Amino acid sequence: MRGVSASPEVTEVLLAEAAVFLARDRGSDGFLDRFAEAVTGDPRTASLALDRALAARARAGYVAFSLEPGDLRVQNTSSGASLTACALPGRAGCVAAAVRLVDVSRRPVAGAAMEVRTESEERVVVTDLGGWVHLSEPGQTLYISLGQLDAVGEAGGRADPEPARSATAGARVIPLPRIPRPDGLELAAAHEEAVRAADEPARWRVAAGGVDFLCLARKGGYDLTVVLTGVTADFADGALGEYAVRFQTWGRNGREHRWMVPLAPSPLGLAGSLYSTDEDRLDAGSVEVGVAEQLIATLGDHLDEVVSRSVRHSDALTAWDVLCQRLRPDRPRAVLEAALAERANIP
Amino acid sequence: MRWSEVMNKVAASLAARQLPDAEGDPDNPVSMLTALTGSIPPGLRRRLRLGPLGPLSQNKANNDVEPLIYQNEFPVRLLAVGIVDVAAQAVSGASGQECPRVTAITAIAALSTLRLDPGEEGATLLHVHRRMRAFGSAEWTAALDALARRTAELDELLAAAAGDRRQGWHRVALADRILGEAVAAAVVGGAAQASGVPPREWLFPFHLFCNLGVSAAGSALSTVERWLGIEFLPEPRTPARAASLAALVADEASALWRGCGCKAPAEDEELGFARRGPCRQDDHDLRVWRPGQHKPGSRSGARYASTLWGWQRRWLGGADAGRAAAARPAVRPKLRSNDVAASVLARRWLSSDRGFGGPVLRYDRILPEFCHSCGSKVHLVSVAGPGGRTLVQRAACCGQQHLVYRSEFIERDGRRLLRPKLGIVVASQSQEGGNAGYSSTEPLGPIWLCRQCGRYSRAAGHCPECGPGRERAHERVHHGWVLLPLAAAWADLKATAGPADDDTAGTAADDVVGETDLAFLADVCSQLLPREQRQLGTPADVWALAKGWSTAEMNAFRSLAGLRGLELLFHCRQIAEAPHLTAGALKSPMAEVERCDGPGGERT
Repeated sequence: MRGVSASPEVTEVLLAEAAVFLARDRGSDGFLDRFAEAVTGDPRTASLALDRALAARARAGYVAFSLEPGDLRVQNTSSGASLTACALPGRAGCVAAAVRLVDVSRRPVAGAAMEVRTESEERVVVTDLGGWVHLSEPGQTLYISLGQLDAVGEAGGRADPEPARSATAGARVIPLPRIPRPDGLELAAAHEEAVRAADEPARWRVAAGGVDFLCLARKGGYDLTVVLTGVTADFADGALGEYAVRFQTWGRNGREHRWMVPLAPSPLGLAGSLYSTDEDRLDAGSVEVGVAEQLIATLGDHLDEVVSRSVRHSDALTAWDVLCQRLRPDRPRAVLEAALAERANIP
Repeated sequence: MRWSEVMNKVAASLAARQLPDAEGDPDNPVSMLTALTGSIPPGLRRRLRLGPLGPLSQNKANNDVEPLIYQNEFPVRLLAVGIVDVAAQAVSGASGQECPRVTAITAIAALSTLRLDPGEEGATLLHVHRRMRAFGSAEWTAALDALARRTAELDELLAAAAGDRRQGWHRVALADRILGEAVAAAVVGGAAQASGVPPREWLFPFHLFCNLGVSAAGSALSTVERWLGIEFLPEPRTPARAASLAALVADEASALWRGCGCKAPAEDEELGFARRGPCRQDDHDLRVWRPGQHKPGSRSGARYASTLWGWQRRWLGGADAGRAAAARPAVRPKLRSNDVAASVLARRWLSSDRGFGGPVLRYDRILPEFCHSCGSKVHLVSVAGPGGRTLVQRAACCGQQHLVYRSEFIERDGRRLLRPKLGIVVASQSQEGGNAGYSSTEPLGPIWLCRQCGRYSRAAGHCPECGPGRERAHERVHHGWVLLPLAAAWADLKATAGPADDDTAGTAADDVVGETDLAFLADVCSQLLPREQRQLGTPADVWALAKGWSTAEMNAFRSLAGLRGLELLFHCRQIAEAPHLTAGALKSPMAEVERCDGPGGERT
């Protein structure tokens, strides 16, 4: 068997040119003429590039935010896509950042244009076929605008506008997947035969708020692993317990539960797990990624309840321990220490 | 041998070797370990170039970003032939095993769990040691030991299949086939099962296993690609490929844990919590399987499945397969009549989409190319192209080479029978994804095969060689796959359509702006601009209208006309702005040949 490879470069370069053109062009009359002048290629590739660039722009939506070394941002765009960005300090006063964009169906968005501004310059970069953009820019702050720049500008031109959400994001309740079996003997990852016709691998991976929830239903309870993909390994390595995910679920008895899961590095990105819960539905609008100290500090009246429940169902306490050490001697720390002590007594 | 010892030996051996023909200062030679951990692979070089796709300029300040991007791709680089050999020598020297390649695979699989950062060798070795401590649990050691055992089993099985003439993977040494298959199969098959971790605790460790498997399977795939000169989709070193392989590994590892598929009516308790282990049916046991050899007791001379597509069978048994058979080795189990060939299972599995939208492998009809003048089959030569790609060229056979698609024949009982050629085609699920190596004839519509001369054509009742055919002289073929880049044979096939048979007229696939296309564009434009009554009789008219559109109008047009409409617009522009070109000129088959584009979007 012999053949030639599908050559991505031509299409990829053209796609990038098309995306940059779309980002910079005002879209007024004569658009197609200007496009044909700016993006040269035979009709097939040029039309394909334009089609994909327009599709990418629609899938990407728009959002604007700023990024500094050590930041981890998970943003929902106006189209429901999610954008994960992380940054590390680079050499010579630079900031190195990686940004990944996946659409509402968790597929990487290739050919989406982002405007990146620093104190000294401004340019447009385009996501590659994996939805990634890697940046290394001088300065300490990156101002990133994705999508329709005009629309973002009209929204106020601020670096950090209100997080854009899709129309249904705030109220969306996602039923957590379960295999409908009367006796409750379930193992998500290890049997499909009983429901062969209805099941599919992607069913056990629920995405909400830029976070993937890997679900496992079993006899001893319902396990949830939250995974934040789209961060580079270097960033993940240095982020043990530094960031966390906060979300809200409803149990099978209808009760509302709030959770906080500190993230630890894993081969898939940043991850953390909850074991043996009884959860049934997830409030997609409640999923929030942020600095663990800030998230725990803003739990307010729910502090005791959330921390003790989350620690009790945690699979590994390393991230919690790190977070505990980092907290100032205050009420959140006392609550967390008590929860960890209680957890240590559970065999 | 313990995995950590393997790691030590490999790392030390790599550190001791100097890179031949190293660039840079000859007084400061570069060791293989340094080169491995610090080199920039071609893919990264491409990304580093200036331009909209290369956000990283070639600024030294970006050096620290490189490992940030590529540190997970270490095992791919490790599979460079020389490095595998070094690793193999190191490991064989350490363990004294007879098959160093097998142990090297283990070492590579183990190395794939590491992330070695560029730096001083001492620091790198320290890094290795530190990582080893992190992965030094008994479960991991057991899992990786099981990899070696499993790979050795495969080695034996594949060696037994070496004499099977039905293996069609030409020009690839058996040992290298073992490498490719074994890395994928061993990692997938061995690690999860041998770890002893019960399923209820799999959630997180399972992903570690998957990561290991994905990494090694990806490496194996890259090796296969290099051998074959084909780059599968999704592209290497992309998250899409990792996801695709992850789905593969996850599926297979979970299937492995379940045990053989024939155990469907298992008890719930067993299904959920008990380790299922190898299959109860003796003939599903790996140690019974003798690739390509006669099945004992078969009245019809049936044989066991051959090697290449027998992954499924191997996975069925798992790493500890054959325990039952080993308990009573003298008894040769009976075969079941309803046994499905492993190759059939594997093909069925390979050709199914597993929910991730990745490529599928199809076992499908290939249209061979022959020279009409001298009758010889086309010979292909591969040459190295820019960017490390392989370009395939057709070798000249005679002075008047005229390539056509023609079926091969086989002689049986004095009769000359058509022998359709079947092969594996990597096909994307989406139209945009393209296909690797081959392109489908589907855009041309159905094709016919002349039973007399074997020529493929697009006319139902007319063979370009034999002329008008009698009833049943031509066999209808829904579609086939043709070698890329499309060339003379493709043009010949396209030209065989009679006027009545050309049911592809007016499709964008032919790069033609015909009357049908103009009517289509006019219809879309009338929906788009209902108040404007414009005559769109020529491509120039269409372009004159379209070139003034704004983005909003453009989007509206696109939503109505799709990609085909966009492409036609650009064709109209080409015709309108090149007065010497006419629509007829674009219809020329040779113009199409020169473009070397395939319907799936491939090109050399």
